[in-house]
Amino acid sequence: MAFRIAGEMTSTLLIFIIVISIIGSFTLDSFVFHVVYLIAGTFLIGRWWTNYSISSLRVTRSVNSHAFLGEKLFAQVTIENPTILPVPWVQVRESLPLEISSSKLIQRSFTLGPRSRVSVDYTLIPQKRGYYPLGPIQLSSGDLMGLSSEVERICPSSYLTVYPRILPLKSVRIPSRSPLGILRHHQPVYEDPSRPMGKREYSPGDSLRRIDWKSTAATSHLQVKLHEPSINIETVLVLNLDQDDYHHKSLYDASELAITITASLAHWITEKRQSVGLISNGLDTMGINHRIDPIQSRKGRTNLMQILEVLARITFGRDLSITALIRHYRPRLSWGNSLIVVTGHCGTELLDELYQAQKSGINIMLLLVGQIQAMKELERKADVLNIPVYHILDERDLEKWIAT
Amino acid sequence: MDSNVSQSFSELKRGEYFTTVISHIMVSLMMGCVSISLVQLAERIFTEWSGNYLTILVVFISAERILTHSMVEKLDQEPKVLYHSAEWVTIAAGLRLFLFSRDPTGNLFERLSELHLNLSILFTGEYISVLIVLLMAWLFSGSFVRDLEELRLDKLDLSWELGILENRRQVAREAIINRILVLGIFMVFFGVLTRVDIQSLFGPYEALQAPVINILVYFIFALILFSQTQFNVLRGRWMWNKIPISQSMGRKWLLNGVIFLGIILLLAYLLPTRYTFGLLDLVRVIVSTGISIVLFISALLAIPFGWLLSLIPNSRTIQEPLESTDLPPIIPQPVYSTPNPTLQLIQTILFWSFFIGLVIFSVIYYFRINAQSVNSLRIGEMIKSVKGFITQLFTWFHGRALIIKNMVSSVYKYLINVMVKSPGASKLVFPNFNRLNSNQKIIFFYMRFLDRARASGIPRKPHQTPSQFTSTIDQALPDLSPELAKFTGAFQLARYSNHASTPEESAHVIVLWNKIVRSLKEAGKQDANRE
Repeated sequence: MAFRIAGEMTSTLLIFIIVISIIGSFTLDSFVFHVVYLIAGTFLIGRWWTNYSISSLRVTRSVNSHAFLGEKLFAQVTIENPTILPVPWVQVRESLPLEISSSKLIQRSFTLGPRSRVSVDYTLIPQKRGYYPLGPIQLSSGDLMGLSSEVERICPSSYLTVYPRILPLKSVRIPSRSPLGILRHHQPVYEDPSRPMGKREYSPGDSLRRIDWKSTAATSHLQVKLHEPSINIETVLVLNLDQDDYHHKSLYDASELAITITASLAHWITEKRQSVGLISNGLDTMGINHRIDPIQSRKGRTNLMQILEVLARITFGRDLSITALIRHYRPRLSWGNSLIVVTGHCGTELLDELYQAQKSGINIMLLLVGQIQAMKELERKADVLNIPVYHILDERDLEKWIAT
Repeated sequence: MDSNVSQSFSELKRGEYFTTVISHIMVSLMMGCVSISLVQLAERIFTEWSGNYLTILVVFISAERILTHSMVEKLDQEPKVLYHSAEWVTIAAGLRLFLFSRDPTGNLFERLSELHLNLSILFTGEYISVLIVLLMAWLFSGSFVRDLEELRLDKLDLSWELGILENRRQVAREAIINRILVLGIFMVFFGVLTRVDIQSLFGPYEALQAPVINILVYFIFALILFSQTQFNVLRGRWMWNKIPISQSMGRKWLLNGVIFLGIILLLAYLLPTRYTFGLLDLVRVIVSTGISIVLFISALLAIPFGWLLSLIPNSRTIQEPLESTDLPPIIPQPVYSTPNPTLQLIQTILFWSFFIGLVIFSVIYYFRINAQSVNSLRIGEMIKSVKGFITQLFTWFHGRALIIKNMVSSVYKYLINVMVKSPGASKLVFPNFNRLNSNQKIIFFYMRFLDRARASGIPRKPHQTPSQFTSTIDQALPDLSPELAKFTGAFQLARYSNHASTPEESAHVIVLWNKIVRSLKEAGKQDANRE
């Protein structure tokens, strides 16, 4: 799209051309019309040239559309003139958010020859997670004589998704009852026959199926196979971003911490080759009605990136409580699934809902972030209900939690 | 790929110095061009006077003003006034001495020695006029250079608010352009005066047809100045915004400007500058050409109807086509030899198109800018209603044209369906019946007879000869056997022999045909009633 900036020269020139044309009409002297053609031609052709040049320019921006915090991104804006007409001057202006670039505005002026191109390079270092527009790119140009007004063209923005911070977790004791997974477990109930651990002598009560006949024949004593216990974790992360559930003093910090914890947990679970999903009551600018669609619990990096992408864009919501969300989603969870709730507040209603979920066979873990009122009372209640609760006040607490 | 290395301030100043020098030279030369027009006009009025020296003096004074401007601006008010006074006394004295030295009637020293007797010999008409011209050139050059200085880059400009700085520079540039255009109008006017035979104003002085190349050169210099000042304005803006500029920008600006100017000059030279026909004559030619085209199309569409009408006896012969309209005679041009009339027509159309286009553009632009005034006069509503009416008219014409087109197409499709697609049908031919000879008429009616027979349910089989088909028809129309035999015999003679049928024979065949067709119709009706 190109539009014209208002200029005053057109009226002056018009008066000149009209007066000269009148003189020429009366006198019929050819040199007068040569003058009219000279000036009118300069104006009209210059105007056409400017409009044609700027609308023909091809503008492309090359930059990764996703990045992690602190990652250096090299961006390049290429302006190409595919026509045979040169462009006398072009001013390029690209606006960038301060969260990802040290300079708010990238500007250049240059001339473009026929079928030539110019590149403008700059570097981005994202400092904060989010979904940022790059641009729009504004192009300005005008004619050589300056007799017609300058023309601007605005090229659409592209977007950069900056993932949230991910902290390396050493180990997380996520409760699970799903047997036959790939994670080692301490409870012998979940012995995995595909993971042999050793042999021992037969004791009365051992199943005949566990007897290793080869080693029995070798030792002439009954020997029984031993298997390593393992579990499978199917986890759903529940992130509460209801603005009213965070203490007003630590609203921003606590919510960002919650997002960081959620991202780190998703990453850890995926690294362990387990399934992870995400539900939240926050808002997503790219979602339908700005709502976040629940992400199904799946394994793999693709699922993780999908979760991280949502966490990059997520913002506070206000009209859906976390309790209602869990209640709505709980029927989709099967026995043995794990539900990790990351929230800035846990009332009685939420605790009851979590207890109900636990009773239906879902493993619950509650992570409280930021300043929590009546924490001790809450811990006591959770203890009674046998719901594991962890409180992370700030980043130092998080580092301690990671270390343990 | 062009380098995007930014220019430092010193590099910008170097580039600007070059631009400034060019601008100053253009101003001086433009002043010279203006003086040439003045000299030509004066020489027309005072035929004995020769003023070629004036151009050089004007260029010199203009250059002096430009070069001393920066030095003078540094002076305070009083020293400045003193300097200018001294300057003008020097110029006046120098001019007087110069004119004395040019005077062929007397010697310089004699003149100087007469001064103490009569100071009035200093102030002759020529002297005062030339002094006034030099003063005007000095003033104009001063104002030009003041505005050009405004466009120069200065580190102090960085302390200005961009909006104010930009406005000042734009105002200075617009002042330059306005001054150039106003001077240009005067130059054109003077140029026209030297070439037009206005005896009532200037007495019995013949038109000189003085050369006007100086006027064109003036505008070329003006365009170069426009280009340089525009570059200065842009450069200042970029400097203030700290926008890096590519190093080759200045060089390419000059190159692009030269190429652009060359193209414009070529176009200005090639486009027509006179017209052969008047506007109304041209309109008449265009309208009559349009009417001829419409009549031609109507004649094409009327051919089938004309043929149908010609079947009626005593119908008239087809009229000769309408005579095409000739172009009006070319207005005799005493100066130019008579060129190709078509080329003249094209030139005239181009010329008037440009002229009318300019008028329309001006009117539209005026109304757009003064939208409020237009609305208050309710002209806008009038224009809207006229526009609406014209749109409705076009829609109506378009609708009628579509209806006619559909009618013609459906008739054609019907005829194709009836004639071509039916088995054994003969091809539909639209001859001019009156131009057929007797043989052709007989054959024509036999073919129509076959069509009628097929329509009545008695089609001719492809292997049947005319005699065999006659036997078939006999069975359906036993009463008409003799007529059928004669009809078929006449056809066989006309079609397969060298016999040239006479008009009486063809007229008799027509009578037979009518009888046979009537009987076929009756036979067809009886069959239908029986069913």
